[in-house]
Amino acid sequence: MKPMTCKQVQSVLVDYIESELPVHQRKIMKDHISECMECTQEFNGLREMLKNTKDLYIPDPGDEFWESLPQRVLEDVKAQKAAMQSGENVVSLGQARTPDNQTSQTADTTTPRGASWFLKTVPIAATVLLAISAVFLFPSTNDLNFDSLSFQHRISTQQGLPELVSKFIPIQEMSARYGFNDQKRKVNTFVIGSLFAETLALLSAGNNTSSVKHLDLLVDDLSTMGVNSRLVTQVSGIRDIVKEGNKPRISLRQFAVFQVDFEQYLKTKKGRDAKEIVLFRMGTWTVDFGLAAAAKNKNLLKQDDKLDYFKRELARIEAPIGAINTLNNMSHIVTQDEISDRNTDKLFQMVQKLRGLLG
Amino acid sequence: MSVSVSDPTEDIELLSRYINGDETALTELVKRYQRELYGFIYHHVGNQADSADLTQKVFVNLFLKANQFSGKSAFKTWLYQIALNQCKNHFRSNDRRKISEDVEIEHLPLITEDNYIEDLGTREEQGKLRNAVSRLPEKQRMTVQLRLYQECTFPEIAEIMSGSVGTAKAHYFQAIASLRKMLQEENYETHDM
Repeated sequence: MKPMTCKQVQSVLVDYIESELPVHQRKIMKDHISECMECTQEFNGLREMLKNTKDLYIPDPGDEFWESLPQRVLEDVKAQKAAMQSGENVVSLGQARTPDNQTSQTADTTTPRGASWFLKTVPIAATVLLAISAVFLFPSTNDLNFDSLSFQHRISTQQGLPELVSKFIPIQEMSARYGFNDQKRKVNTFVIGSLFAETLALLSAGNNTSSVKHLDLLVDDLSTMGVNSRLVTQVSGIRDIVKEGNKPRISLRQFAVFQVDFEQYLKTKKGRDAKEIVLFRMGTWTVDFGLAAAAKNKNLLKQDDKLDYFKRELARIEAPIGAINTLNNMSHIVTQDEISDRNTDKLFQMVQKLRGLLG
Repeated sequence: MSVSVSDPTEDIELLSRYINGDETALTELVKRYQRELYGFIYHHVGNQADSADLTQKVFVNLFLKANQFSGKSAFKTWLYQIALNQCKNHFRSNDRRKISEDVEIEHLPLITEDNYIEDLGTREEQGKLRNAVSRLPEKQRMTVQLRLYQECTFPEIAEIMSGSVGTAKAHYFQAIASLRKMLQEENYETHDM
């Protein structure tokens, strides 16, 4: 059999590695490579490169992502099927993101105000802290999912995202909105939760101006609370990217991880307090629920399990009775077989009331 | 992010169970393919957040179209056809075909204190390699991804990319030759990473 030149051998090395050559040619190749230093080097180099390409590092999104993905897929599929059947023109909050440099028509937004009752009760909570159990410190969610991103992804609207978001986050005067003229804004984890979920919605709607303002406030509030600098940097980094506008658009998921990180921070920080976790969840949930109510997504409003959870936890942390009564009224509506349009509007108003009471 | 070996007939059986109303079959299929699909998308789009989003979207699209599955090809082939289209749409809508000119931090493994110097070298070499892959023409890049990361056979690649086996091989061989050339020009050191 005719031997091969180095040039011929090197021209079919990939075929050889991929076992794509006929048996007789493989034999000639093998013999040549074993005797030729140059071709051996080339062969080893190529094989190594293929192996290294194959082994390129992929960052793992983490166990929580893998564990929740099947459920999120299932919920998304169901929501989209339901929307298609009802003939809705589905615009998902998660899908209809617009580029950063696109200015939106959405009006500027309001920010929840501080909760005086909460501030008053903090010292009491701190002294009681030593006596309460770990169960209380880390309230059981019974597998309830508070992931704002996946919930907001499921919201569909016919009216357009900027309109929906602005309906929920109404226009107010700057001074009233931020309270920086005559009073210092009060900060608690309910406010942080609300700001987070609102920012997520604003980013989805492509409203960069308001997103940046929200992110500014979030950075300020986190700093005021003395939250660890990594979290503050995480949020300020995202704000800077959104502000620049000419960079590839910010991924919602990049921002959404804040929810997990902040909750983790609350669970592990020195002087941790179960109340802060409940209120943070409540802050994000009221925004998510409010958006679903504004979009009249009745299937997403059937949340008796979460309402039960918040009723229980708010009672435990001695929240204003008005908030618990409002949750009771909401439960009464969502447990009905069908939620009427009128009741959807009522739920929307009730969420706003909750925001007023807690934020 | 290893590639799972799934029995193709089991996949089709699971899909059929899902079509008939068994939601646990959806869960099972997602669990089977989620890691390798995420890996495929990550190599394509180059950042963790978008890859996570797209992975979910691909599965959602697939199950929304479950009734349209003809059964002529394997489930895996169909899944990657949908993933490929989703990735193309992603680039169109983002107006950024290439992963990135500069390697993003998240592309790189964490440096450990124990092997600081060694790890630095690895990061640099990985960066060169990833950039070289990202500079390949689209079809060649996709072929390399399907072959090396997804361990697809050439007939599978041909089916996913709606071409012939010969074309798939030609894309692959051309891509490897280009990669080798690009890396040699950049003094890439082939050592075990």
